[in-house]
Amino acid sequence: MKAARALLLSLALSIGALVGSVRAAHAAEVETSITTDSVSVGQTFRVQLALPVSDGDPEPSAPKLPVRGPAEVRGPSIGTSRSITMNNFSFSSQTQVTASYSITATGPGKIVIGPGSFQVGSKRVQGDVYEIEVQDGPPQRQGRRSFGRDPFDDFFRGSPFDLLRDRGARFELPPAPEHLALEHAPDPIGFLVAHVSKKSVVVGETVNLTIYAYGSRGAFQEANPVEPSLGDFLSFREVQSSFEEQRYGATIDGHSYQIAKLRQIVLVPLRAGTLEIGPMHAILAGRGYPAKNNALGYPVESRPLRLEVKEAPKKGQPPGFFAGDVGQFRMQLELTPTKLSEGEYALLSVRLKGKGNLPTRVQLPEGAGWEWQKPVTRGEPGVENGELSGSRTIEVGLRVTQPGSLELGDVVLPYFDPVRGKYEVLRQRLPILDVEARPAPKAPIADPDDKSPSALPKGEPAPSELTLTPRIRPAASLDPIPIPALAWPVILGVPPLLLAISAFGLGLRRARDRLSRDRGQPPKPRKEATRSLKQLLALTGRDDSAEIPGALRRAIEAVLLCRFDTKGRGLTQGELHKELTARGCPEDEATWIGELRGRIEESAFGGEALSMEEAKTAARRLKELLDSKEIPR
Amino acid sequence: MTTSRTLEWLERSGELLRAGKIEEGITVLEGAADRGLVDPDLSFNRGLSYLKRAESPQANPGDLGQAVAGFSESLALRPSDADATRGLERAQILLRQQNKVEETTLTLDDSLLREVLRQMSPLPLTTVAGLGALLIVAAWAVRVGARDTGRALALALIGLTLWLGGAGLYGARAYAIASTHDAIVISARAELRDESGRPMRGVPGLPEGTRVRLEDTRGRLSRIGGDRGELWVDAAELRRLAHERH
Repeated sequence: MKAARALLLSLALSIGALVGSVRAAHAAEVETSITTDSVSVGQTFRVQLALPVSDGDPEPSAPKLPVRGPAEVRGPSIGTSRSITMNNFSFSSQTQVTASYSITATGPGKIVIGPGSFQVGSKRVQGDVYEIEVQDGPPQRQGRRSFGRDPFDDFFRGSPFDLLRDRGARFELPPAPEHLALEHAPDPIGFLVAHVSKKSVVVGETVNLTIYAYGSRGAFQEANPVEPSLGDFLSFREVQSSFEEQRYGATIDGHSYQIAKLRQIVLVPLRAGTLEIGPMHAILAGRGYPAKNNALGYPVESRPLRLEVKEAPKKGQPPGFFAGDVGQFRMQLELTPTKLSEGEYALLSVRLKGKGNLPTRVQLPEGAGWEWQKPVTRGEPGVENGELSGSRTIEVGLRVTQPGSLELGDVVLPYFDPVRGKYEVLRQRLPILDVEARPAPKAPIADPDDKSPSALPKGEPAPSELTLTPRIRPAASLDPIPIPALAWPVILGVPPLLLAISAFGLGLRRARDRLSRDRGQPPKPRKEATRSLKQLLALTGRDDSAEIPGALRRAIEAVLLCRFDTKGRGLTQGELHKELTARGCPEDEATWIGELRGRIEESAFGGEALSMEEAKTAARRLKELLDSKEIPR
Repeated sequence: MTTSRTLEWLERSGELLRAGKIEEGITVLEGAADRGLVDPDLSFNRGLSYLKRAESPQANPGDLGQAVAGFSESLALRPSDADATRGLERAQILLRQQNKVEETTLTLDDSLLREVLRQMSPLPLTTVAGLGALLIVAAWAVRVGARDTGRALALALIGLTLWLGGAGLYGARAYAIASTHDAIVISARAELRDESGRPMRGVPGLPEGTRVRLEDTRGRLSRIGGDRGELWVDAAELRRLAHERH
């Protein structure tokens, strides 16, 4: 039972890996393949999760496939396939991990599948969610399609073991072509046979390697394939597995064999000598194939092959022929632009088409006045019907270094045609380039001591060739005007500093006033007089005539209080004169103050308003009176 | 400001390059970069030395990307350098020839404001802020000296506006420069990866010379900003550009 389950899982894995999926989705890199959109009750279908990984990446593990609805799930069968491709002398390899499940619909309704997921390192990578409609009724039997058939449709209908047993009986296999019908079978149960299309070739000439599997115990599938070693070849695969390949029937040594093509690979030998194509190993998995050293089935392998590879003939070999350029090719050129200025670039695009090992280089004309850049190749040949063909583009930049009309010459590609057995030379002329001279820069004044960054040392190319020179001194002239280091500290520091000083001063004054008030002390007379006069002067400066009489009255009182210890309030003009002279005020000043007070009263009670001139004069005289040293205090 | 140490490295590298000793020049310039010397002329020489090597038979893969990085760094430090602009253009032309006019498909998701701030010259901003500070001082003097509150207030308002505007823009510019870390792809093609470092399939990588914005670096991976979501690149495939220091 264990062996049967292992067989089932292995087959499921193998088939699942190649089955043509009805749906495929790329979501978070897990590809989910489901073999059907809708099923009937009792019908089984396949779901495969696949996740390709590159070398060095953590390997996906612990696959999960949640399934909700009327379904019975079997699996998963986990497998890993690795492919190594050598192309253009470089290897690339990829590993794909697959988890295959078989799901049987157990009742009508909807089955929700997914999201399938793998654990990759510390992360879980998921796929998409799908829904499958389950129709009530018996499973629909499908006839076999000759192309694009779905092996799961057959394989998982009912019991997979029944199917394996019945498959040979149900299908009439077409007879094998003559070259596949062997005289003797090397193994009565199963074996592999490898063919090459040619036994002797030249370096670079394509050879077809085909590997067939023969099995005498009914239907089989390939499992655990190990590819043949092809270290001395470039390889281009056309058939990568047997799952989609036509099966044939043949009778060998009295036994009926099923025959399937496992691989078809176009090889390009890379060197001369007797090159070996290694054996291919695989397991033939199927109901009738006994497990021999392997639980999955019957192990088989092909015999190694040897191929004689020669150098291309020396006779008639054109100059510049590159070993490996073998096939039948055509060449197209495009050079743009054809009008340009000295020092500019044009792009040459060489398109090679044909059959065989497409060349990766062409011969470019050399000469004075232009320089070729490194070529870049694009495009790879592909395999179709056992032939390597396609197109490749070689692109290379061309820099023109001298003005005038440049005749570049021919692009040449010599190659060996193995069909005709002789060399051919493709040759195409490049268009003539019209190169304008670059305007010469102004000649610098010759100065032997000049050590500026742009000064050219002896032996340097002409300015048109090299316009940039290394710097040995700073190009300070290019620097923006430097900002002094202290600029920003000052700019940022001064306003807050002033604000702080003002706030401190204001706070100090308020505190002092509050202290004075608390102590019942009046403001100091001298200070009060000065402040009143300043206010008066400020008002006269602003031409504020409405405020001036009040300010002048306050200034008079403050000055009198400061100098003569009296405010003069409530006194008539005569009483004030008498009081002031008694307190040491000069006669004329006392008279003037009296008149000034009268003038203020007059203006306040509808008389002529105080003029600005009068106010200014009064302020000046009051200040003189306040500051006078002749008058005793 | 060019220090005497920088001058020494500049002179050594310049003389080596003028003598045609490109390899030695590159060694000296990379040594200067490893020591953290940031100077537009050193960056220019580095860009030029890689450009010269890229155009010589001794060209190494990634030389053009390194040249783009050197000239870009020089321009970031001194935007008015016409020679660095020409060198950068030349390296980019060669890269386009190499990549067949392949433009990067990654668009820097950058705001216009940030770019405008980065491009602003600091001198006008300093002048405006300085003028504002002067007006504030004048307002203070008017208020204290002449006790003219009205004039002092008007002066203070104008000064404060200029001071705040200039200083604010200068600070924003400094932040925009300091918070932006650009880098140049210096490998033939930088593969885009997910956070765990796995290459993203079906997504073309970034061609050599592409300018990217670094947002984070974790181990050997650097996260780059753009319009395609969270992308990671092997840090060894990028060269980080030094920028102006404040």
